[in-house]
Amino acid sequence: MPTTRRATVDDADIIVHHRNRMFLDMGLPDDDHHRAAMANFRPWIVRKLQNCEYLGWFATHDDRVIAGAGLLLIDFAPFAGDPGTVRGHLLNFYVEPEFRSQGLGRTLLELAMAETRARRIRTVTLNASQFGRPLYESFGFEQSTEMMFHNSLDA
Amino acid sequence: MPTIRRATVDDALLITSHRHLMFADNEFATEAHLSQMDAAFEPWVRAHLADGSYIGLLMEDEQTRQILAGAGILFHDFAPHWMDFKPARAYLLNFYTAPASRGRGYANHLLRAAVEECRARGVALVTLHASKFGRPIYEKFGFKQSTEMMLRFDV
Repeated sequence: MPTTRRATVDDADIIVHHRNRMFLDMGLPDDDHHRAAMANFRPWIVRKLQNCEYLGWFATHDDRVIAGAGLLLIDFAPFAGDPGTVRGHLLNFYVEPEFRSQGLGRTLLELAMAETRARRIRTVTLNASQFGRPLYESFGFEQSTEMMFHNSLDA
Repeated sequence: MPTIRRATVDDALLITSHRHLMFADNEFATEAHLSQMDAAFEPWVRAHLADGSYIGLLMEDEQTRQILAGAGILFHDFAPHWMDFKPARAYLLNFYTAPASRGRGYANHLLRAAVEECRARGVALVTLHASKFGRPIYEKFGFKQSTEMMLRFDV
C-alpha cells in the first residue's frame, strides 16, 4: 500500500507540474495556448487551495511525490435527484511514468471518492482521457450528455 | 420576433418553474424529486441572479409581456485550460419554451444570445448538458460531445 498525504497550499508547484505533464502526456502541444493556461493555473490553484475549494491527494515514495489527484468543489444548480448545490469535479490525475501500472491512480481515486461521500456530494464529474477511462468506468462513471462549444474570441 | 430581456431576482420563481417543466418534459425525474429540486433551486438562483453569476435571458411577447421561453448562463470559476486559459467557464442551463410557443426557433435565438453574452465577457468555453430534444439544436450550432464522465449517487 503506497503512502499518501493531502496537498497543502505549499504544494502548488507540484500540482502545476502534474497538470502540465498530464496534458503533454495526452499529446497536447507545448504551445503558447498551453503555456498561457499553465501560467494562469498557478495563481488559480493557490487561490483554490487557500479557500478549500480544491482538495488534493498525493502518493509518495521515500518522501518524493510520485502521483497526484484533485477534487474541485463546484457551486452548481440543484438538480432533480441531487438537491445539493455542490458538485465534485475530479482533475489533475497524474502518475510519474516509472510508477505507473501499480494502482496509484486507483488509490488516489478511492481517496477522492471517499471525500465526496463524506461531504454527501451526489454528483461527481471528470473529463476522461483515453488512458483514464477504464479506471473511471470501473468506479461506475458513465459518459455524460455534456456538449461543449469553443467561442472564438479573436473575431 | 419577441424581445429578450434580462431576468432579475424577481424572476427567480419563474426560472424555477422553467427548470421544473424542462425536466418534467424530459421525463427525467419523479414529481417528488422535482419539487425537492424546486425548493433548493429557487433560493440558489435568487442568490446567483443577485451576485451576477447567473444570467437569465427571457423571451417576452412585446404586447402581452408574457414570457414565452427562457435560458440561463452560469459562470464558473474553472481551472485554466488549453481551450480557455482564463479561469472562467460558462454553463448553459434551463432552456425552456412554453408548449404554445414551440417550433418558432426561440431556443435557437436564446442560444445565440447566450453564446454572444459569453463572448462579450471573454469566456471561450461554453458547456451544457443536452436532452435528446435539445441536442440537434446544439449540434447545428457547433456544440460537440465532450469527454465528461459522471457518477451520480441516488438520493
